[in-house]
Amino acid sequence: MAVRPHAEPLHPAAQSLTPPGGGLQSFPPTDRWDDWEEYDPRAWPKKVARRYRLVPTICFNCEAACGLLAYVDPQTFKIQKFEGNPEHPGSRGRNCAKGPATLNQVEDPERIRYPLKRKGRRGAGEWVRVSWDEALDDIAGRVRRALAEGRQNEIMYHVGRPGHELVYHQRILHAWGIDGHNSHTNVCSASARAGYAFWHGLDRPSPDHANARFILLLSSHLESGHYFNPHAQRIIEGKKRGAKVCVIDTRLSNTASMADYWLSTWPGTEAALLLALCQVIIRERLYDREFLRRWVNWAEYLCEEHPDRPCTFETFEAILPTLYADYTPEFAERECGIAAAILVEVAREVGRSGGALATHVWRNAAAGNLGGWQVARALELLVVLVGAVATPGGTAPSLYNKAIPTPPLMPPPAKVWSELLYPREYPLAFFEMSFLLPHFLKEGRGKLDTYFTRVYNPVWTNPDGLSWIETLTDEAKVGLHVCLTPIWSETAWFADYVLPMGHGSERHDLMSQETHAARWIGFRQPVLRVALEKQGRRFATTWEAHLAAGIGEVWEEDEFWIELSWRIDPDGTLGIRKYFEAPERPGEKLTVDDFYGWIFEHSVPGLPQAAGREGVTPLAYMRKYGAFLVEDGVYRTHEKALSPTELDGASVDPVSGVIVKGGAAIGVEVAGEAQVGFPTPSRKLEFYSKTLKDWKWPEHALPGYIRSHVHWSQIDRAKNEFLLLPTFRLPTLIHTRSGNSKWLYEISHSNPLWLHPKDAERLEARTNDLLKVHTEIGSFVDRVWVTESIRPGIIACSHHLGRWRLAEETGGERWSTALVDLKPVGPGQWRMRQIHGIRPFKSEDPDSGRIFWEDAGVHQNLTFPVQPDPVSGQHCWHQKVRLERPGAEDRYGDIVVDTAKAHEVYRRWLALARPAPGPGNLRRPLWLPRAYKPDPSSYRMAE
Amino acid sequence: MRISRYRTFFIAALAACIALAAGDGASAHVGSGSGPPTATGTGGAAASVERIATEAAIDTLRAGGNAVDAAVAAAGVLGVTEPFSAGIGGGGFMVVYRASDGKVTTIDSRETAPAAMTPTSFMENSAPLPFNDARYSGRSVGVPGTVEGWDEALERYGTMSLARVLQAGIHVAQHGFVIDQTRCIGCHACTVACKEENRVPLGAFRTWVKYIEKGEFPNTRRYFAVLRCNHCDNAPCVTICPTVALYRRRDGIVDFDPSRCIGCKSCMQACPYDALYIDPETHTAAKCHFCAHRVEKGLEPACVIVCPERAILAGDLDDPASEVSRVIAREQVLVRKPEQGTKPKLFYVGADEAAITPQLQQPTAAYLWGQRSDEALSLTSMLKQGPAWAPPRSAERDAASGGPQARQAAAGWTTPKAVEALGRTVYDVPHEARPWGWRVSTYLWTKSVAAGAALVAALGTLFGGPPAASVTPALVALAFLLATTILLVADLKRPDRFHYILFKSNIRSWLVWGAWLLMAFGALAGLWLLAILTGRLGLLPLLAVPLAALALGAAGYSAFLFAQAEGRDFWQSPLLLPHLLVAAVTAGAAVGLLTHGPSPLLRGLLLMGLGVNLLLILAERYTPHPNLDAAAAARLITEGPWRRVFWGGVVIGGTLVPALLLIPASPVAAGLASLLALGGLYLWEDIWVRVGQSVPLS
Repeated sequence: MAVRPHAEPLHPAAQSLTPPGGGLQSFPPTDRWDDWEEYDPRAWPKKVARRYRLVPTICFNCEAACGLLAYVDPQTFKIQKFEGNPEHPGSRGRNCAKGPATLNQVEDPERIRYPLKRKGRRGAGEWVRVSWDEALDDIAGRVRRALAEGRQNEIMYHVGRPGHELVYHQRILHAWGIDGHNSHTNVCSASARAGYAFWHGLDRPSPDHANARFILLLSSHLESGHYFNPHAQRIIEGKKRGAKVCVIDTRLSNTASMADYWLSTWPGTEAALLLALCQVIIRERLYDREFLRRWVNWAEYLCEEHPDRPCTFETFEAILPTLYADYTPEFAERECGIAAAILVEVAREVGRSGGALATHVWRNAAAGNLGGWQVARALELLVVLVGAVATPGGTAPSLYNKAIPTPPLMPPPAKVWSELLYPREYPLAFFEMSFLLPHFLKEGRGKLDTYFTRVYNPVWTNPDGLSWIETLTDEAKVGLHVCLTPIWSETAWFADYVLPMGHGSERHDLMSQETHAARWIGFRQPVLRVALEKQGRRFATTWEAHLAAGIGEVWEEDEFWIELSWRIDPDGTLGIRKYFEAPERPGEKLTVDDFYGWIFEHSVPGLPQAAGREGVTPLAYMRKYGAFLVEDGVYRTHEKALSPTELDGASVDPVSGVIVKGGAAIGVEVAGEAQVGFPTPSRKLEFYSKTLKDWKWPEHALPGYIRSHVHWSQIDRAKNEFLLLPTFRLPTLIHTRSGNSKWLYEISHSNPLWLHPKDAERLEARTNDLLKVHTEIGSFVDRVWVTESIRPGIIACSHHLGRWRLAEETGGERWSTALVDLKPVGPGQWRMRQIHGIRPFKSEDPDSGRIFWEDAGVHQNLTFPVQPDPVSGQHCWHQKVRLERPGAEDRYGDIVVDTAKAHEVYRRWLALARPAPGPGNLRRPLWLPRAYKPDPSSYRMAE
Repeated sequence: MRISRYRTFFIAALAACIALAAGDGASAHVGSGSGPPTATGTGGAAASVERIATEAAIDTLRAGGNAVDAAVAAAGVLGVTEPFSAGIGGGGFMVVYRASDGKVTTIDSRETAPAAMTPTSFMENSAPLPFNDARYSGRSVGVPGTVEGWDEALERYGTMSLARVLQAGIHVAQHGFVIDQTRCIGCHACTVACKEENRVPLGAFRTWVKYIEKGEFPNTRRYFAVLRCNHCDNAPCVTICPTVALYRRRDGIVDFDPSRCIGCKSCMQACPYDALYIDPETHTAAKCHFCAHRVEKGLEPACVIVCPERAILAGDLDDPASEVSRVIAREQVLVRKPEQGTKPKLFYVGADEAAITPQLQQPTAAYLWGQRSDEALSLTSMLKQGPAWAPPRSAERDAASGGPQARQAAAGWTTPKAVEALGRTVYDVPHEARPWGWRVSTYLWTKSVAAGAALVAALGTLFGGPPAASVTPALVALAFLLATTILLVADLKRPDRFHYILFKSNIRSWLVWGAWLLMAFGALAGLWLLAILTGRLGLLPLLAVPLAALALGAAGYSAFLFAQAEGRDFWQSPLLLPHLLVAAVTAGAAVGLLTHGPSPLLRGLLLMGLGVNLLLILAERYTPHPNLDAAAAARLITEGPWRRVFWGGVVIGGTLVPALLLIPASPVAAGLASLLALGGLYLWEDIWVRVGQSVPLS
């Protein structure tokens, strides 16, 4: 065959191809990050070389803090893409869909670029552009006045997804002398936190999945959750090494699909199931005797509850089986609907795992149910029984695997207590009763002078959003609402100032998460500023760099708080300014380089040495690599021996063995050895919680089972009552921050009601039919998706969709929001109707004209009343609902709510609480974790 | 070991060709004129059965090698690409002609018997083993001689080392993907990373994740399938692409060059995997290209590096040490639609067969978190109607073919209920359902009219039919040919590049042959017209045979084009060619009747055309189909949304009524019959084109 034109190598460029030898590499080598060449993908197969500067940062699209590597074009200062950062110990160069979608957020044509101030009535939707100076001076003036007038509790900072959540923001609020930190924790993880904290004083688990022999999840870590990508990597790693995976989840998640056992329980019965597993392990003596003897506070239990019997482990061992004798597999089968034989099989697998049992519960059953915190406690009991606490392949308390470097200039804690955050009814809450704020304000428990929300969207995220709207629009209750956000949200609409803050790649932040048995830090940095500065440009602040790069006047929070604090206390007389001065240059304003430079120099063990080996400063090292592994292979931290220096001047309690120094417990004597133990009052694992007993919950002092508010006995299926499971996430979305990610919404944009075929048959509903879902305070209309992936009697609906906006052109991302008409139709009576779904729109991004989906989903949370758990303070998300075929008037997405009823439901749940004071006239146990602990003196209630 | 005599032949032929080489380089240019295409050049020539092997030989010559160096380089590549016939486990001959002294030498490197073999090795009980026993017993193994033969040839006549000339073969790496579905968690990270890396516009996907669910609560499971281009060794998209915008690189990657693409969408029809889309910005085809621009820089594709679970592996399938090779060697792997013969290079570990096989999936009306377009929903409801989605009976008979429909049939999955139990599609991304619409069906029809008008005129001239010297048929043919061309160009997404089909041609593509045929046909019809207009009627009998031949070619070539649309099983019908030819005759007779009044001959011809065509159409619908997709599409003809158009428009209005109208010798009735017949033909082409694209590819 002759060489013919059609057989020529085709493009001239293709002719010169030389396939590389030696395989392909995943990432550019770090020594070439400052100048890396790739071919322009859109010009291919023409070989158009493009050069990039690679700057690491940290993803901000969930809490996992995975590494990203930004490819910045040094000519145009545009970011070409985000890849993973191979130097990051948690994410190891890999990301989920949300990582690369960061690019959408940076390039979003809808993003807010300048400070906006409301004109007209709050919530009326009129905005004028203002200067940063004007906004900062106005806000600082109000804060200064409030502080000067002793109205500390009228300043509140309310944060959604933290970042800065370590001690760095605490520094600011303590410097201001306020107790003003509010969070989203109680709509998320309060019950799981409480359950874990009662055990070991630390409020979350850190499973070592990669080395586990059995992985037991009440979570969907292969698609979402804390910390999805790093955990998902290690769960599959463990599975590939032979670990069995068991997932307890009513709904078939992707995670459940990958499991060896999928146990679809009736929601709220999970603790019964877990205790049945414990029962089998105790009955068949599969537990780790020696571990229990050393590390469980059985002595305290015997002392308190069986003072008449000898205080020996043998006594405890004799009593233990009787404590859980009722939780037979057969009992659990009746409660949760899983066959007893399967439970026995799983229990024996757990028993066989030795110390390699990795477990996790975070939201799911804990967040859905009254008494959900006992689910976490029951799960941890399993871990304790098999001695898997902080072992290889086991489950460690969170903080073991977290590195929190100390910042410079830490102010003393404030001597105030805000009852808007920690009301006396909830002395054990984890943490602030954030979602009850509108009801507290309605009841006149206080008011807010200046209310900051940051990446927090309570109107949309929280239950009972219309009560939030009613409160936010009441200027007597909220004096000034400052919304710090990169994008529009339902809540920003009801602000006085909307101040644009940077996305994950546009600000500084220090992160550390317990992704595995190690400790690392990750450095979030504004990649455009870093790239520009590497070109020789210099900027005093990040927003100036953003302006130069064409993003707009987008600030970063670190600099915002420094600047605001200076303006609150310009002459230093309030004693605030000094905490915002450079540590090395007194009197001069602190810069981010000063701040992080100091931390990396002084507070990260090993970092100065690693930097020294490369001949750079620790700050330069972190700017280059974006992450640092402080310690690997962290296990059994509680067994760390106390040093003679630490023991110097300490005393040992002869009964409990607790080692006390300077009034604080620092360790415990175990078998004659002084070890650090756990941060609990007994310094041991508290199987028996004296705290719960002392704080009026004696019946729950042991891990147990509380029948949920949506227990099957409460649901009358004959009346078409169902249990609505509204808590699950999708692998591709972020609660309220993915609205600007076109590639994520392109994949997922619907949240139909999952309905089992048998129920569908009974309701005569087919896929795509509308159903009306009645909650206690209202109703919503959604489409049905008939599926075998849900338990009969349960309906499920993801909370990740249903975004809306009130004006056609502004106030919401048009990639993701429906335009709605929202109006009061009577006192407390609200009605929302979708005017239209998502539509293509014109913008600088031609993709906005190619939107092909119309569905924006349905916003179910608006129709949920608040249901605070009386112990943990967790909003109990699951709803008892009634299904009905829609009437002629009903449309897809319709929402009806009665906020007067919502307040009644609030009062009913409030009545379940057992208020402070506890022992010592305290508002809260001093030892119990609290976000931003104020001075101990403020714990005491006035007599 | 089976020894291929073909291999021996190729190497000998190659060496003989290359022996003519002189000088230290090779260059060639191609001349085209009358007769077979020729290439002239200096410095050397090479020929082999494999383009890339030939290229390796030419490269070797360019690099200063001589003919023997080049021959061994080519043989080395063939050892990779044709392992069965030219692998290094065999042996061969090399015939070398030396121009300097005119001597011919043969190097024999055939396999030799192992040392332990004796004259009685093939005897048993003093009788020779039966031939097949001897062959397959394992005793007939030979000691390979190929590599030694290469070494010997280079030693004696070559200028390069064996290591040097084998580089080409080593570099013919076959890049492939392994997707480990036992690790995949369905997180869509690959989808988004690909969009980011390649800036893929909204609505289009180079890779995506499909979800299916199986089983009944609580024994339910969700399965994921990461779908994309398979980088086929035998890529139908490359074959059909008229302008070589799609091509297979030497390293096995199937890449594309948007600057050559005319947007004809034929690749979307040829690909059985739904891998291609039209980029809304460039209006050219695009797909996964293995991130060739990254591979070129030594980097793995974007989907590979993002995957949290390392579920996607990319690498060199020919390097036995590469991870992909090891996984494929070790694990049980599946490929999508192996029966299509495309040799896909994307291997799935642990994939559920239903997840990668659309025939084993039950379409659903909604997805778990994505909306379905109205068009997709209507396709779904169409396929769910009646037994359209059930396997045909023929599949049972076809169980030996090993395709999924055969496996389905073997398992007794013959009812829709059973199919439903197999895999419910619960998530997918949108796909362009039918890339070809009314323009393509109309083009088939206008082409029939043009070809038919000319054919009837030519036949009339040859056999004394009525409209011998009329300009009308030629004018009709030219007018409809013009319409055909306009439709074809208008259907291109890049009509401005229509001429690429002529000047950047892929001669394996029937789009190209079609274009040349239509042009030649147009030219001859023009000559025909000219002859009539200039009164040179004597030329007509001379022109009639070629005109008739070209008319038949113009009418019929589409059968080969649609056959190259390998993704569409329904179009792979042996009845298409006869139908197109009969349709042209029928249309020609109808046009003749309309323009020249009712001649009995034309009436007869039309009647015959209608009858035969009806038989073909009914056969298309009711004869057994080779696989499930084709059968499902065929069912849509009578059970889908076009059933009324089919029975009312095609069968009754377009065939039976005109046939009845032709019986009386009335000019009005004949005219009406002709119009109805033409209408019926159009409706059928339209149904046929749409039905063929109604079965999802992925």
